[in-house]
Amino acid sequence: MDSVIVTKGLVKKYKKFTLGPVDLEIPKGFSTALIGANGAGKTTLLDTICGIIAPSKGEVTYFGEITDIEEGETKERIGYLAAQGMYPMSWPPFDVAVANKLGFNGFDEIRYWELCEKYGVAQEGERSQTLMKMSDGNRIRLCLAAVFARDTELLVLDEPGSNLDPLMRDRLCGQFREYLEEGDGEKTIVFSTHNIADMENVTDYAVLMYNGAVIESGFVSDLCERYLLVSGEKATFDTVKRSLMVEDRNMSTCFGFAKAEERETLEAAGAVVETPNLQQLSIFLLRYAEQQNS
Amino acid sequence: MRELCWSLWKQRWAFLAFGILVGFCGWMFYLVLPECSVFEMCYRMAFVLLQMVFLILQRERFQIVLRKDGATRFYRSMTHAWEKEQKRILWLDLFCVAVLAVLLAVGLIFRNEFSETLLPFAMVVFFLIYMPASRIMACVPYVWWMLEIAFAAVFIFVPALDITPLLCGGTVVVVGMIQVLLYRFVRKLWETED
Amino acid sequence: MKILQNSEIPIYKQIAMQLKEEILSGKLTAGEYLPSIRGLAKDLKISVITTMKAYEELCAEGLVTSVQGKGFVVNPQDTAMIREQRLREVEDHLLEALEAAKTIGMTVEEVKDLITVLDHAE
Repeated sequence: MDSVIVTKGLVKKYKKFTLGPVDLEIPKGFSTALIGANGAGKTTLLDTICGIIAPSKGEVTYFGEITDIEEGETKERIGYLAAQGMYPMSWPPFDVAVANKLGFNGFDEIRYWELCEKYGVAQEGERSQTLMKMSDGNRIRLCLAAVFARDTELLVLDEPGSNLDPLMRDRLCGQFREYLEEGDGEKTIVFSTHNIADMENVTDYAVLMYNGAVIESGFVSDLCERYLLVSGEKATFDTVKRSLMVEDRNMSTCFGFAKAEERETLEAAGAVVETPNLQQLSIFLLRYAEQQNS
Repeated sequence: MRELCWSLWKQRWAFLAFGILVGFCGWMFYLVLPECSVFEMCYRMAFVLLQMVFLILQRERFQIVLRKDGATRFYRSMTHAWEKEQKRILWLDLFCVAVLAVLLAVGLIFRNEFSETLLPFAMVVFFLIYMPASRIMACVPYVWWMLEIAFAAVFIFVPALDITPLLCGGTVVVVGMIQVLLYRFVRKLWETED
Repeated sequence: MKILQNSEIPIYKQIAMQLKEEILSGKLTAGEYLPSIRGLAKDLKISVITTMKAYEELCAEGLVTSVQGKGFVVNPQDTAMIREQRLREVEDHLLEALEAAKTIGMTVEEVKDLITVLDHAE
């Protein structure tokens, strides 16, 4: 399968935080979710990939051949959306349109206003309202309208769903699928989130991050099949303790998490096992990482 | 062109306020210093007003360029805007320089009509305020406005201030250097920061 | 297509089962293309990887073939093979029934009688 982004030993150093080294391949034609707790380095990784901040070390290959983001039309092909600080706060929707038109060849202003209308933002009479006066949700809607109005091959969206209401989040998921369908395998989405439940049904590939490092990545179905969700009696859990990565013990029952290889051992001991969904997997893997760290 | 007109229209109230201010100052000045001719008065005011128009245009343009280097993520997410803008700005710069040069020439031709200190002042305006300010002040609009008003006040009220051409030249060099250093600093900041 | 979001059966299985049914019943004929994976994902409001997995399953069963750059095409169905497949389904269900019968001590004879009764009732 082709990769749209390949990172090799990507490192970004700050005084108090270091990202990477990250070796990552993002498959072309799919939607990839970057999952992690706050401060895991999701924004730093996305910013480094998009050339918003310069990496300290390592390299990124774009679209299979380009290694310099400033080369040619590379940035033109990437639609980037920041969670914060995307546009000057003093801008009204009109300025966002003017700036995008100046900045990118593939910006379709008519589509921008259509999308604004669809998302219920910047309606007639509100177009001179500055971003500062908008709610967080409306601000992100406006940014989404601008990025979807561009002609791109790769969307890199930082926390696109976080400040949206459930209805708008559903609309966003629809927009994702439409974008992927339109591209027919040529268009890719990468987005970060810390609330995977709402985005699970638009996630094809998942990358889990903890404390600046990628701890697991893969296609959702393969990824989930690599692990087991275990439940059983307390006595059972005592005997299989070594097979479990994470466990939760209550008075009446116990829950745990294990690698798929342990299936036989666990079943023989009398525990019930099932394949986790992405939400469960994320929580357990992040907890496991935290456990290893402490 | 449509965008430029729009930029100007957007700041119409600022224009009006500034126009009234300059007019009022001119009138006061005329009352205080009756030996100054009406022609010189008009010339000074025209110079200030025109220069302000250029500055506003420049500010719109440079805001985009400077922000790419310093402030918002949007600017950092684009490649070609920088070069595109540079071309636009080059033309705008040339245009503004040409208009101001014509004004200076008019001043030279009619120099007998003016008080002695006008021309050195006009040169200071040209180099000290217009050239660097349009680049640096573009990202801090309020500072820019204050500078502009302060400049207008000085220009209109203190015609007797003794500024020699030598001092003008020196100022241009110093300000030019500061400008380059500031610009480098902003770029460096972008490369290492967050 | 009907998809149960909260069902025990994974969504990709549901899709594969329904498409298989359509192919075996002749609703989808040989040479026809299945809907594009991304188009179907959009219509069903599910992720692309899910529809892809469903199609891969159909591929593995030999019901469809992946054509590079064009999608998935329905294979000509061998009637004998369809019969074979159906037979296997019947076997599977009967085995399940027999096992359930064993747990409550029903004899094979009793199960046979039950089948006859059910058949009449239908």
